[in-house]
Order: sequence, then structure tokens, then C-alpha cells
Amino acid sequence: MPAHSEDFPWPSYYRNYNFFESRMRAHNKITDVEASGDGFYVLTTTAGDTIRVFICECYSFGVAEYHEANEKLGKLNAIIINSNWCGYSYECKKHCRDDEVGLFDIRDFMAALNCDAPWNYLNESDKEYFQQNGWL
Amino acid sequence: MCVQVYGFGSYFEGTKQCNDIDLLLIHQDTSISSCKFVLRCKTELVALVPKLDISILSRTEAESLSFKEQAEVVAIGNICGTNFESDTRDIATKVLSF
Repeated sequence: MPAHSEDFPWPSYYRNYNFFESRMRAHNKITDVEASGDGFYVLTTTAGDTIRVFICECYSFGVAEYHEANEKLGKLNAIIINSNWCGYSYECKKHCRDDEVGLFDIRDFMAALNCDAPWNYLNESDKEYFQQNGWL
Repeated sequence: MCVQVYGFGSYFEGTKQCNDIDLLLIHQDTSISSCKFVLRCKTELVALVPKLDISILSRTEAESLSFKEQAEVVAIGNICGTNFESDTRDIATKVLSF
């Protein structure tokens, strides 16, 4: 179940932050991982770019929650749904992608970091749905 | 503009000790106005009911994910803009007395 919080209703459990941090520190495109609390991170890439990331757990991350995250945290570059029992809507994935914001699970984020435009990365399931709906 | 409110999870299955109360809010579409309205509903409900964990999806998002079917949700009621205060209070009362 997602961790309940009065202030921020869907941050991830701390152990998942630890998992995310360890995966990011091991990634060959990431040189620095700065935690700012409540699941918000600033990553620095080998190219010198910074990536503002929000890690969250919610059963299904949708467009309204994307707006809520932006309102609370400012402009994000990536949102990571960091739990096996949680996910996102394809509509939200498209909405984020149109805004040049990546919406991923952690495995896809690891792969996306190897791309020049990480927000564009789609897994096979995303691709299939996007193609079916004429979004590609 | 109206939002449909559903309950799901252990609280609505009658489990006596629950860490949280899961609600699903389904709103009209992914327009800014619809998103703002459903977020207003969320803010109000969180203020009225302790330990709420709220998921939010538009109608099409919920349909594409089959969320209602998979989570086996229980219909609780609607919150409409015209009766916002009374609708949210009614929903809160229904949730707490479930």
C-alpha cells in the first residue's frame, strides 16, 4: 500500500528511496544524486545536465496528479512510479511526454537515461498503446 | 461538473484495522478545469476524513486501465460543483460510517 502522508499523499516508502538512490548511483550516466526530501531528487548527468525527479507511489498516476505534482514541486523532468503494484495511465504518459517530462517505472527510467531525450523513451507496452491510438 | 467517488481496498472490505482508506475519484476529462475541480474535491475530502489515500483518474484513464473492475470498487456518491460543500460532507459521512 502507498505510504500515507498528511502533507504529501503519495511519497514512496523510505526503503524504495534507498533502492532508487542505489540504482542511480550505479548508473554510468549519473554523477550526483541529491535528495531534497519527500521523494524529490536532483540528479546530475555526465553531460552536466540536472534532472529534477519525483519518486512516488500511487495506484495509478493520472493527469490530475501530474498537475498536482507540478503545483507542489514546480517543473519536473521525470516522475518515477516506484512500486510493483502501482502504475500510470497512458494518457498521463502522453501528457507528460508532450511537456518533455518522463513518466516511468524505475527500470524504464534506467533505460531512458541512456537516451538524448529521456522523456521520449517508451517501453514496448507504451509503444503498442501509443501506436494503437495514433500517438506515434 | 461532477466527480464520482468510489471506495476500494481493505477498509471497504470490512477489515477492522486499516492503515488507510482508499478512495478513487473519477473526473470528467483531462482538461485543466476538470483536473482543478477534482483536486479541490481531494483537498476537501482529505480535510474531512483522516488517513485518506486518494487515487484520481479521468473517465477515459479509468476505462483504459480497467481500474474500477480490477480494484472492485464500491460506489459512494458524487461531488458536483453546484452542491460542493454538502456533497463533500455527505461523502465524508458515508465513508466514515462504512
